[in-house]
Amino acid sequence: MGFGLPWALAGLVAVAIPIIAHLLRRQKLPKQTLPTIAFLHRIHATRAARLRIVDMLLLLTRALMVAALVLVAAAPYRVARSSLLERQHALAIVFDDSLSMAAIHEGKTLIERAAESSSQHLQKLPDGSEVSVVLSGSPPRVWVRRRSELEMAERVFDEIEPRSTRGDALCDAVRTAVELLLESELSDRRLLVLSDFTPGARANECEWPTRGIRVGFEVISTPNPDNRRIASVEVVGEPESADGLRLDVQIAGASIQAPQKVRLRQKGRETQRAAVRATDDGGEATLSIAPGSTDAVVELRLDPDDVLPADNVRGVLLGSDTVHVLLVDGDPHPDPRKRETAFLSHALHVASRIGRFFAVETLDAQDLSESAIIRSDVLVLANATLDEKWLPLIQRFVSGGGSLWITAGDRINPRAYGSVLRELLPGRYTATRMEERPVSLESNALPELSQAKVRGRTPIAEVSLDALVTARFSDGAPALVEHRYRSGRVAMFATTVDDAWTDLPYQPVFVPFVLDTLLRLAGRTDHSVEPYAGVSLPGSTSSQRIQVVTPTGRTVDLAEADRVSFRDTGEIGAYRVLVNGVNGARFAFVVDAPPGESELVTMGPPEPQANLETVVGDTSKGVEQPLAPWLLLLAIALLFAELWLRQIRRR
Amino acid sequence: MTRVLEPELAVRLAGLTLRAKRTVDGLLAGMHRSPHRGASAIFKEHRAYRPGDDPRLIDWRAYARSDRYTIKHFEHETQLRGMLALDISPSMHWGSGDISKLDHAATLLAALAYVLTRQGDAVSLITFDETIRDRLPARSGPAHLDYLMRTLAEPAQPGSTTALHTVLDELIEHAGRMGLVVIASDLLDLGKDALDPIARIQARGHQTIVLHVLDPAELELPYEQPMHFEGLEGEAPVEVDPKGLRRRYREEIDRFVETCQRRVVAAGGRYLLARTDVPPEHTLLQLLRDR
Repeated sequence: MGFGLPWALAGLVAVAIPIIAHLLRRQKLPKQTLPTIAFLHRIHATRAARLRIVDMLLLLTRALMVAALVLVAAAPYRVARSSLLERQHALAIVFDDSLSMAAIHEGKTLIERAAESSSQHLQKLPDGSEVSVVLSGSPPRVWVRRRSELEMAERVFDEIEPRSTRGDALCDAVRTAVELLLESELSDRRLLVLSDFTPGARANECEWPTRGIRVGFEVISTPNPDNRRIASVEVVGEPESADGLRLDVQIAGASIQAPQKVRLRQKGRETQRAAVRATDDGGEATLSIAPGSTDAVVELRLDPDDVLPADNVRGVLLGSDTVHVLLVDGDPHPDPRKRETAFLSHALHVASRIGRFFAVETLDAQDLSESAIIRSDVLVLANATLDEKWLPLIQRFVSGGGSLWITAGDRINPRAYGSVLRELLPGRYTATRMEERPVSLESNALPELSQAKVRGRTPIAEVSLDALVTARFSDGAPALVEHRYRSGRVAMFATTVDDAWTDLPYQPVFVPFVLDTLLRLAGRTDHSVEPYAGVSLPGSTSSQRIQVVTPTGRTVDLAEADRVSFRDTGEIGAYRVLVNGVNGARFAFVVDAPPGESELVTMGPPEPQANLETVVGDTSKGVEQPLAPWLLLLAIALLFAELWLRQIRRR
Repeated sequence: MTRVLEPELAVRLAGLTLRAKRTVDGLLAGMHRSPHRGASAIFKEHRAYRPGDDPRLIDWRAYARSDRYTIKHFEHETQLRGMLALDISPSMHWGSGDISKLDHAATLLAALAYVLTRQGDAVSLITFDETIRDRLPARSGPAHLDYLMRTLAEPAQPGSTTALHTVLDELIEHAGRMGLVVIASDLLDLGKDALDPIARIQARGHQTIVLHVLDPAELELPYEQPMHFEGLEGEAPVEVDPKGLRRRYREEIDRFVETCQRRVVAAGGRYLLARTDVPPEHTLLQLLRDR
């Protein structure tokens, strides 16, 4: 128990007032002699005892009333271990299981500490309460959905992975938690957020409920936020060059005092180590890879581990980043902006600006040559009228590992494609048709494709059994179909890549759609992905065995259904993809630590914090519950009691 | 100096005659009829002489006329022997107004003494509390009256309590022959047998008059605010709000008065409530009229 205005307690001396008044009143009662006092005694005998009690009660009541009023002025509060002890309520816990919560303090991760704290809170919940748990690691997940079986809900915290690699999606999790609370029939709704509130959590950007839901924050942070990480790795040189590759490694974070090393691991084995040189903003190290290495990816580890080991690992893709794309424009136009490939070129240019380098060559269809085809990794036939002389060129190109992407348009002749390239294609174009009502596109990998409307299309039929439909129209018809042909890949798109039949090129999703498709066709997954975000892997024939080797050396056999999208990407580092047990040079990807998760300095709970402690507050201090309203009620009750006792006394 | 007998009161009472209800033995002739026949100023009857009659009572003149022995009867006026008993216990010293109960009782007894003395009756006086404090023998005459008045005006210092039963028993021993016993007291000795001796006094041939002297405040408890009440005879003090108790108090005091009256009357005595707010002459007039 404490007092907001402790100096007001000095007023407790006022308690003496009724006592003194009582004593003075006794002393000042007029004295009166009365010979017949014996009769008063006789009458008063039973009444005297009662009056004595009534007088004492009156005195007590008055003293208590004064004391209660003084205490009200002193703003008393009760410190409860947790306000969760009150009445039944719906509690939603937003549990931060992002990477920064994997920081280790005294042998336990912050996630483990948060789990312990959450369990303790649940133990204090009154029966009949309802609990939901939402994990805020990206993507947010509903871990417990409105359960009243508190013991069972308590146990689920043991199942949370204590060493997360996730990014933070606190705001999405808060939104989800609020939705769960609003579904509850219990009127007392509370939201408890357990997080380290590091900058990565971006708690100040969340929409915190201000009415109807009481919000409490519990900061679970490490007292030692010094953390280092491999900030960047620059690959210098070309794998095929005589000098091999040089890896320039930048270390960021706390100042480096003790000797540190960067270890290079290739195919799971440590092959090299380099000492870290201290710099003003961290440290740096240089490693080299001998010429002739066939590794698509290597892994770097910073040694020794610090408070957050997960971000001390970094995978590095070694293959040339440049994807050579040959755009064959079937509808050339003097104005480059009106060419069939204008939007594709622009998208690839944008992609280069954001870090992915494409070498783009554009030719009119009649200028297509063998030399141009051989220089490219991906050949795009955009609304191109097929020429039979191309057949052997394209066939050799695809068989040798090149990829072909055919996009539809008014220039293509479905019959010609069917007869000339039928063997290579994953399906057959049918007659072009224009839609009365636009249809949209759908893709699991790119949900935003649904925003694009398609007015004309050349439908794809007779999709081969080994083909994968990676996008469909809203009526279910295949939109983007691809399959593997020998060492290469072939994809068919049922509409245009310019704005003739669709507004797709105007949609923001157009750039990632083009990138995804080209990288997948080029056999290059994206450079790096966030943990658990999943990656698109090259498809294969059913006869091929595809395996993924994770950074920890775990080998995952991919079922056919997983071969396009591999989502078991929770480990940070380099992933190798094996085709029939062999490392494919083009099949590797890395998972990087989520940006912002390496910063472990807590920013504290967001503003406003006025109602934070009404849920749990700082459990180490307990929750301050104001007692003034209750004391005021007590004073009023005492006032009525005093009036009642006075009436009794007069009887 | 307490007020004992105002001259004005004495004058008013001078015309009053106290007639005893009973004829009492007395050595002195007076207004009181004697039960004994004999020589007296007032002729009563003649009757035939019977052997054993005192020969001195034979009316010789009647014998000469009728040649028969005739006895002549006279009514004798005998001297009344009055005993006045004044309660001087501490409770009697209290009064809510200017006059204490003791003053009022002394006034009443002084008036009676004055009347009796004027009639030539002998008057004795005792004052008592828990025991008899003053004792004046029965005498008549102005000198005795003065002495009695002084005693009434300045009674002995009282003790701490009243022991009515003990005092009345002792009083019986000093009452002498048949006469009048007047007790002025507040009767606040609340013992059940406090008034029992009155029956024995009556049995001795005395007529007992009890003047129950009470202050109106004692009868009505007129106080309005809570008070610290204290007794006068060692009772424990008590703090009460009289307003809350008044009704029950009055019931209680009425019951007490009624009980006293019932016991006195049952013993053959005469009871008279003498409120101190009622002028003494009214009380005495009532007493004498009823006799």
